[in-house]
Amino acid sequence: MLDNPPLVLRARRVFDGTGAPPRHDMAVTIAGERIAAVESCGPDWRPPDQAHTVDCGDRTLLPGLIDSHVHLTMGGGATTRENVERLQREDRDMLVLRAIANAQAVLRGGVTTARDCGGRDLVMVAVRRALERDLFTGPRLLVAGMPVTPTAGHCFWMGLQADTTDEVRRTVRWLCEQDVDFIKVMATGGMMTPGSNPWMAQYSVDDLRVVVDEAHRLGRHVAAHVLSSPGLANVLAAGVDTVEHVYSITGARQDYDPSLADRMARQGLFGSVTAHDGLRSLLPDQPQGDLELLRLRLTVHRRLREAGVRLLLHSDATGPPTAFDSFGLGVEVLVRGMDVPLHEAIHACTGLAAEALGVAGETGSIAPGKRADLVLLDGDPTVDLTAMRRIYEVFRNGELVVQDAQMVPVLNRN
Amino acid sequence: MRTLLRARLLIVGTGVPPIEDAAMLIGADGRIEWVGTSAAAPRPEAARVVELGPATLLPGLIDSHVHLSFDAGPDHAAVRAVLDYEEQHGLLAARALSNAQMALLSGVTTVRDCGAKGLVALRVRDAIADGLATGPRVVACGMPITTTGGHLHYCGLRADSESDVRRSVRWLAQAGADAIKIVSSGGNMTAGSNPLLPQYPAGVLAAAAEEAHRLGRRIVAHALNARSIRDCFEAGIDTIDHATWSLADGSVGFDAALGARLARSDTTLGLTGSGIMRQLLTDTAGVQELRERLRPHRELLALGARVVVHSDAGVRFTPFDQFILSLHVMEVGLEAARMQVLQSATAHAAVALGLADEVGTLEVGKRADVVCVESNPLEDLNNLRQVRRVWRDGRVVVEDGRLAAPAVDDAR
Repeated sequence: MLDNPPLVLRARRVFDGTGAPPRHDMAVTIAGERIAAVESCGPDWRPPDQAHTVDCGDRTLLPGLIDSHVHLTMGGGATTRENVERLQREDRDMLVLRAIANAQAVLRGGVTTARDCGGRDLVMVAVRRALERDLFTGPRLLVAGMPVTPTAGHCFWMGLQADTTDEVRRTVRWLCEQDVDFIKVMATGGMMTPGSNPWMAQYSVDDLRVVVDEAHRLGRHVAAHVLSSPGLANVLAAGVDTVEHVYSITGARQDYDPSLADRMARQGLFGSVTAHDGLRSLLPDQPQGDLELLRLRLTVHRRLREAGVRLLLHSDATGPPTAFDSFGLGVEVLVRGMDVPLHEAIHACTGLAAEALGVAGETGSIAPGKRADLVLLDGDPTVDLTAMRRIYEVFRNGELVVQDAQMVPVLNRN
Repeated sequence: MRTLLRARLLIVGTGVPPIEDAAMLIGADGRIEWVGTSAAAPRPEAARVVELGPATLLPGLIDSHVHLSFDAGPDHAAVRAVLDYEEQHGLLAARALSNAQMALLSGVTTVRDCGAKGLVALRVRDAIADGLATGPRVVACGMPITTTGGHLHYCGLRADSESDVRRSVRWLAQAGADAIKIVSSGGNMTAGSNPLLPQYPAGVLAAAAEEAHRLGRRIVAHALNARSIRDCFEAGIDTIDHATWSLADGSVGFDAALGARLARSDTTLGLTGSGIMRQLLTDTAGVQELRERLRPHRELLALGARVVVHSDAGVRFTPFDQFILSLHVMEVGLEAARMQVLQSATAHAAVALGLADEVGTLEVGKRADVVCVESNPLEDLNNLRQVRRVWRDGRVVVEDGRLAAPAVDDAR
């Protein structure tokens, strides 16, 4: 790879992932796995010597997208309930193959970094290892293994349950021993686990503090699943790193507490908007489209944003109805449903997400020294937002890995 | 939607001369509806026409003996060590899928996995069949049946007595294996198993074949020595693979009388073009040695037996995208005509797999598993390296070195 001449992408429009508005007529130079230069193409601009220059025409260049919340071992059924049943039934090898298929679908959707917030057993650790060994082409993966949850708690069926403080501590240590990248803890019950009660906290502040202290001691960040204020209050007290969902967007009850939102903004915790099918399907051009309802569902998140909470954009994809290959729809959800400017919506799944996930030194923005994780959209999303769905090419670590929705395999790397 | 392919040349796979200025009509069901000259081709309305110019169409290659869970490492011990490590860490499914996809990219549309650790090849088969992954058709044997300490025992299925062997066949069928693999002699890959002597008496092999056939499965045997080959034949084994006819003193023997009986039977014989054989292609002395080692196969071919070339991919230095080199081994080692070699790797291999009604030739009614190469492989088998496009069941799965995403409707 390093022997290849530098590749220069000359683009009319570049969102650099920093949250700034798009820059125009830019040249992005890729040398090996990294971005070597980002320059304005003035009248005197000349491509570097021996570089291969590609004019991107009317296509739009973005950083590779970051989906900070997926569940790659799931899917295969027609409904979420079927997906949950299948997850419990299939053997390890089948789940690995399913996760690889899903990871590649994610990549085709323009996502070059995906954080898996929980799968069955340690399947996702195996999948990340397979990726490291170049056994498949996929997005960069950060994996939690299994979420930490109590008996009968949300996602208990993924295979891990911890009830007492000692169990919680040992569980976090054990997950780190098994080589997970971060810790996912279920602070409230969840929708996918009937009977787990999303409106109450599953763990005390003390138990959550143990999770956070152990994880931080071992160099891992903590993502907490939260759907309501009792859980939010506890994770704010314990000081987790990212708050997943924050409040339900399904139309179920929301017990929004402005004082918690203020505290969250003050503490600098990252929140998130879960743009899964429940919201994607409300986009105006979808069969069930309903812009008014979409905006209603996002009322609380609009208030969180107004309170100064930094919000990431994630899909929570578990397979159809929330397809793995359609992450770009989430950007449209933020823009249409919350009046977020396009460059800010892109920031929520690039630069900001990289900061939250601790990978900002590597990816998330188009800047010299960063890994060349890039997406070329077919079209101009500033004119037609649905260009966010049209992923033409994807580069990961400087390598063209998707073109025209087909995988570009890289052979004989082993 | 139907698709009409037009190309300069079409190799049917049955051994008949190639069709010039050919056309082939693929139905919406992914099967071949018509094959012949372009001039005579039907012109159905609503058919997509694909002009392939000077290219050659041939049946998708069939590699009838591979090991998807093996990594083709530098030596037997390394391959086994990686196998154990990857099984322990849950990496075998990814390894096996990656290997299968490498085969597909090189024009192999069907592989038979002749023994993996655990049931991973079945899972890869299912993932591909269910549209989760793009890959070749996989015929999976599951774990090979072997003796305690016998060749490939580390794949996990050991059966010593006749009743153990019968139960193992039943268990594999129950687990969903498409075919049964039995290891009738020791193997070079497994230190301490003796390749020169049988692992099972003939009666046990017959019991395995009887059970396999009762359950509708074909049975393939690993057999390296003369006694094992005879025992497999007498036992009713469908495919005798490797068939190196090694004698007790390590030399290569051949029993012409048995060979004549084999040639008259439905038994297919596997010719292994693995890395160790491929290395012999590089110089004159090597070619001489290759021809001596393959004397049995050459005589069998002359007698009219179905000799099926396979790669044994996954064993030491035998990667999955080099089946073409196995074809070279047959061409050079047996001084076989290129058409014979192609027939071996397509039509005859389909017979070995029990898929002769489905794949292996470009004939009406067969599944449209097709490879398009830039130039005529009958002039030089190396032309098989320039794979432009591959169809499986009428759907484009490979184009210009790219793997099609699964479930994308791009049937062209």
